Amino acid sequence: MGPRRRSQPEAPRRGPASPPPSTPRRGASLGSPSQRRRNVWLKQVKMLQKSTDLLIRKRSFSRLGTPSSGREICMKFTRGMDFNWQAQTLLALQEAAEAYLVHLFEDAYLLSLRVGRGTLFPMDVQLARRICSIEEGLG
Amino acid sequence: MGRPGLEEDALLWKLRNNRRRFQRRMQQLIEKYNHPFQDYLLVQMSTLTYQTPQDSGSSNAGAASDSGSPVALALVPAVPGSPVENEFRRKYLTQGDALLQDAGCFEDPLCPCPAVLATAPRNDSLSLLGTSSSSCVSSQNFEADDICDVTISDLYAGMLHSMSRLLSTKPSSIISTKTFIVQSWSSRRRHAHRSRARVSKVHSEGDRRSWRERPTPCSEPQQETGPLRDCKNLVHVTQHKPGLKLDKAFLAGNKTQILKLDSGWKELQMAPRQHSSLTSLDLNRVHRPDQENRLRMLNGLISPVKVVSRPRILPIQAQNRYREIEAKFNKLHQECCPNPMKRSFPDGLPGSWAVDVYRGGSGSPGSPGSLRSSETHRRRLPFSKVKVKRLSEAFENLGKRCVDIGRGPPESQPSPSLSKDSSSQSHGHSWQTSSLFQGHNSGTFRKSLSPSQISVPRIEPLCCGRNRYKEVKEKFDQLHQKYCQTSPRQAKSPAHLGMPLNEASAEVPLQTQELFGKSKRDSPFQKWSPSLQWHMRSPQGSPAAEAYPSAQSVQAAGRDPQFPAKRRRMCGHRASFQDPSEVDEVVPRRGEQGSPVQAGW
Repeated sequence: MGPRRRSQPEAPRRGPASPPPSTPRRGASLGSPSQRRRNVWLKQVKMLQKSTDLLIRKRSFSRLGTPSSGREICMKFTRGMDFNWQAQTLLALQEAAEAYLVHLFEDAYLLSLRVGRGTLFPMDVQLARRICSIEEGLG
Repeated sequence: MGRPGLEEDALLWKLRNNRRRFQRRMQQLIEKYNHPFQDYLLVQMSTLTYQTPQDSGSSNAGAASDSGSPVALALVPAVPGSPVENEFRRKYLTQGDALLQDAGCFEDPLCPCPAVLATAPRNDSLSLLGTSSSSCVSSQNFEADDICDVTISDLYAGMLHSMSRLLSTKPSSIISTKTFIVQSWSSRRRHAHRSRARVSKVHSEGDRRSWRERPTPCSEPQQETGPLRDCKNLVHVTQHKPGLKLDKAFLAGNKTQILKLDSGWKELQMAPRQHSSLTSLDLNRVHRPDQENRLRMLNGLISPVKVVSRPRILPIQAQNRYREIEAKFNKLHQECCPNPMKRSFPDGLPGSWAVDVYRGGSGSPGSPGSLRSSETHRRRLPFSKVKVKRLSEAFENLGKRCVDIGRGPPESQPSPSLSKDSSSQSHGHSWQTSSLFQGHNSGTFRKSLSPSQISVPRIEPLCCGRNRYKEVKEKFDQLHQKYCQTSPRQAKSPAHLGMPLNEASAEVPLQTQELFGKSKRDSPFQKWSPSLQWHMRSPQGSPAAEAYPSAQSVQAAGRDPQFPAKRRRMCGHRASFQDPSEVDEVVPRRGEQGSPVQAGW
């Protein structure tokens, strides 16, 4: 298993996969190191796209809801009221947040691929947010 | 050339796909987490209604025929209430329905009997719906409005429905206590708060609470028939009555229509006192005041208001209390004080004054009483001051007279006009003035001591100071003897008289101060106890006369000038105590040295 964080979400995880930028090679373990590395992350991508579990740690995410820990995001949305949170609430929020991030990274990587880069840059993310926003986006 | 366009199209197509996937994913999440917590009810925000488990079973059968109708699910009030409330509602409804069934409420020929409908098999429900839908299409419009217009009565619609029927059938039964409460509540508050009751304060709990405290302006029969008049809410009720099994028979909004007609007809028959507006069955025309009355009645029935007496009657209680205290004080005063003392308070000053003091100390329990006390205080203040001045002058003269008697050569000083006026007063007022004087003394003394306490204490019950008086008298005698021993020779030479007398008098104030320090907060007799003892001996002769100029000379302490005045007063007191005839001699003599005494004041 590689590191949990992936920086190159090549294709959507749960839908019909768009063609990856480089064709995967079967039995690439015997090939060059670059091919080996490519296979590694490709396998990782495929594995992650198959899975449906949450990727962010639950404890880390729950800290967003507790004001005592310094993260007062929930206070921002509850107008300063300190609410108690159900576990299902945090799970729902985490699922939604992860789905949104995946969607964002997909769009950003598409934009980065369009300009011929294989590395995701922050400007790709910014452009994706701009294009796909409610005001200007496709929706 | 077309390639960038194609690429852009491809990009846009991919982005669109991504977006669709994201939306689908979000929809899945919403569906996944769109279930209530434990037993809570999940309310549909579009219709503000929720589906009961009984409706879910029937809706599956009728979904094919009546799909897409949100009214089908809108059969219960949108109450995301607690499971306890739901249980209570169901329990109450079952009981109420049992009672209603016994009473034969469903024997109305005009409307389809719900029992018949309840017994109808599920297969016939569609046919029923089909027949009813055609007849009741017109009422569908306002039904939707009614559903949107959820009132608080809908929250307890089941109870409302049952109780309304119970009231009609058995008016003297279960709900009698609650109606009594409502009636008594309304009768109390009706007149006072008639104007405020028109505002509907239904939807917020806080308003509900405050609204409960307010009276209902409507008449009692209206309140009683409030729930009866409302057939709007009866729509939602019968759906989840297990006894009637109406929910099995009815599916869509047609159900509600049938029930509406049903309930409307029943109410018309069973409740002759109903409002005339109901005959039209046009619920949209239900007046706001009717709804409000109904809501008020409902709230009173559901949660009977605890009638709490307001503090309006407090002044009456305070007055009663004042009278009691006054009576007790007068009684004590009569017991403690002898008759001669009584005449010093012709207008009952100490009694009422003490009561006022008490009230002032307790913090004014009643406004009229406190006002009265303050007024009496104010009245007495100028009165007492004038009296004090006159008294001081009187005792100055008395002291001078004593000195004259002791020394021989008279000492004359111009007496103010007031003193002459006061000389005309009889000895009968001497006590009064003396008491006022001492009261003022005590008042000033106390003011210096504790300003936070009662601001104008005048006279304390004399009976309390009588014991203290004796003690102080003994001490005074001792001091007097001591003083007499120290200064017998100084009576010959006034010059020499001054010095040792000064010393002696300095001792006296010190001793008196000690005495005062010991008994600061006791009766006013203590304040002038040394002077009292002093004056006890004044008729005897020289000691008082000798003490008088010494006291005059020592004017550093504010209290010193008071001593001669006190002594003189005690002369008068003593005289009045023992020999009223002496008072006549004492009082008329006005002290020429009014200023030093008055300075003390």
